[in-house]
Amino acid sequence: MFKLTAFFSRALLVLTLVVGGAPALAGPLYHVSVDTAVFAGSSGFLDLSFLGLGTAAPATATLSNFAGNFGSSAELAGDVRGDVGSRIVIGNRDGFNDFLQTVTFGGLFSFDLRFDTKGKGDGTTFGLALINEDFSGYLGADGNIAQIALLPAAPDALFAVEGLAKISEVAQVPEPALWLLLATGLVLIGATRRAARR
Amino acid sequence: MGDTSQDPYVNDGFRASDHDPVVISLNLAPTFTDVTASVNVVQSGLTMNRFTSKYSGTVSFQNTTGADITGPLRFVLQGLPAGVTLDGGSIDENGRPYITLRNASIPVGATVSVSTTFTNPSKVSIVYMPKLFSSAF
Repeated sequence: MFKLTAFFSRALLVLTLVVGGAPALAGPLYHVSVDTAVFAGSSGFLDLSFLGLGTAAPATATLSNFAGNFGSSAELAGDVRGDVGSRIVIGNRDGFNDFLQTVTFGGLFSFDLRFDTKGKGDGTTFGLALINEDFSGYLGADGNIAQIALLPAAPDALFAVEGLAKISEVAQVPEPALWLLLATGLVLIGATRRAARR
Repeated sequence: MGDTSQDPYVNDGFRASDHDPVVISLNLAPTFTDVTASVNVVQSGLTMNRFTSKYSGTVSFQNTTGADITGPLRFVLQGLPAGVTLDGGSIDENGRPYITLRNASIPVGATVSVSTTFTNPSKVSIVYMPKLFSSAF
């Protein structure tokens, strides 16, 4: 006999596992730091980009926990929102997705970075560059000083200019919402098993 | 055989035959065949230089068949949007930009990569259909 309550219980369980499992599929959490001591006494720009071909798998880069001597203005281009006071989310939808932040060099800048990729498609590259005060050229390298390349079915490729930038992987602390999802899933598993035994 | 009433034979020092000369011409232009289905194409994300408006990336081709893919090989970028140009490439007989791969062939299971650079001053989304062509004589 078809049991409606068991059916809904199982459907809810599947939904919980699917929704709860999605964050687990997200990439690792990175900590990016830039030591600008060598440029002390000047100001300029921190340039954050997230670029791919139009055929790239839809992806977002979420940047949070910013630290550093940031200026008051920023320029957003393309699929990007947020600010260094809270968090920045950059998507890869447009041809140029970029967050340009004014900074005063001399100290350490850092933030946490996480990627979420959905579906299949080509890769996307996150880049961090420093630009000089009169906006006429890059500092530290002829382009990005730190870079993370996301490729389909391959580990992320990290690059950082030694002595200037550093990317490290940090252990993720599950957020309260994740614990709640896990607990809900376990309760549902228990309830399903109990209902099956009756 | 194009026989004519005019006898091309001249009895001089350059005579070689007393028959009509037969001219055979061979068209040895290579023909390129689409081998895209034989490879797994992986395209990286892009980096962009603000001061030159150049976008750069890499494309790799892995031979997924049981036989070598013989070259010369052409990576054709079909349908690049207006305003986006491929740097350092050539244009094929159908007007499509392409890059000649340095590797002569792709052995079974092997991967060949090529760098791409685009000039894209309007910063539009770069979309194209990647195609791999192999020449066969």
